[in-house]
Amino acid sequence: MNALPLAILLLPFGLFLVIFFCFLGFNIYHLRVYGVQSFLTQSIITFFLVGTVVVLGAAWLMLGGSNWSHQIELEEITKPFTAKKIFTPL
Amino acid sequence: MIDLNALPHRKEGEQTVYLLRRHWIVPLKIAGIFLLGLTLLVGGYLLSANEFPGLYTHPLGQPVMALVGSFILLALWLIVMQEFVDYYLDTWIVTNERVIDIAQKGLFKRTSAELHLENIVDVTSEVKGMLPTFLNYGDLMIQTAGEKVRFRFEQIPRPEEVRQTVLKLVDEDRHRHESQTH
Repeated sequence: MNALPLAILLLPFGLFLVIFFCFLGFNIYHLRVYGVQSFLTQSIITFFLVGTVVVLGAAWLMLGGSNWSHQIELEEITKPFTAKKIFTPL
Repeated sequence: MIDLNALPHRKEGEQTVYLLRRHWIVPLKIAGIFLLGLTLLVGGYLLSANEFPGLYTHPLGQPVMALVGSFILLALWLIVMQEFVDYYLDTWIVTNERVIDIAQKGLFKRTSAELHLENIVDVTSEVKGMLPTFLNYGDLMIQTAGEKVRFRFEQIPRPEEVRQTVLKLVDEDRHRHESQTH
């Protein structure tokens, strides 16, 4: 009862990705329609598309390391994650 | 796409003299912001991994940090793209007949205006500050008979040279019109 699927955290991230792709689409559209016809404009479009693939790949690698099917217990959230003892006992 | 050899309402014999954008220092600053953000992201990861080693093995800490890292990386890329497109699509085209000002403001605002050379009464260039003086960039103001400045070319390279050329083009245009009427 006190457990949540970890994948729930991906929902806001998914929403952000939708916004990301909207902005990407609009920017590429603007470059294609309003940019000056030249090799430079084509190169810039290619650069942004390749860069986007690289950045999305990096995000995929970062997120791929987690077990998203894991059920997170509420007690686990409050469990301290640091093993460092800041204050030594008296 | 805008074809410089086939501008809208092009007159016979009209030739593009300048295609201007802001100085290259502007995209350099954008790249600098991206690199700084990337450095802070990697630095933040290394620092947190060193200070809180348990954070990246914690069942909740690791995915949250991965999400935060991915979010920052994608947002950074989006800002860079947005800023660059804003820079790249702000253009000023000077032909031997007119001046065209195309401005992109964000995603959904775009303005386009043109001014015929015969309506220009004054052209002023302004280089202000240490970096603009060293790199020779600044603003160019084009004024018509009204009180307000009609066009402002912002942070363009070699503003004085452009000013001289525009004035020369205005002069040539005036002579051309005068010879056509006589």
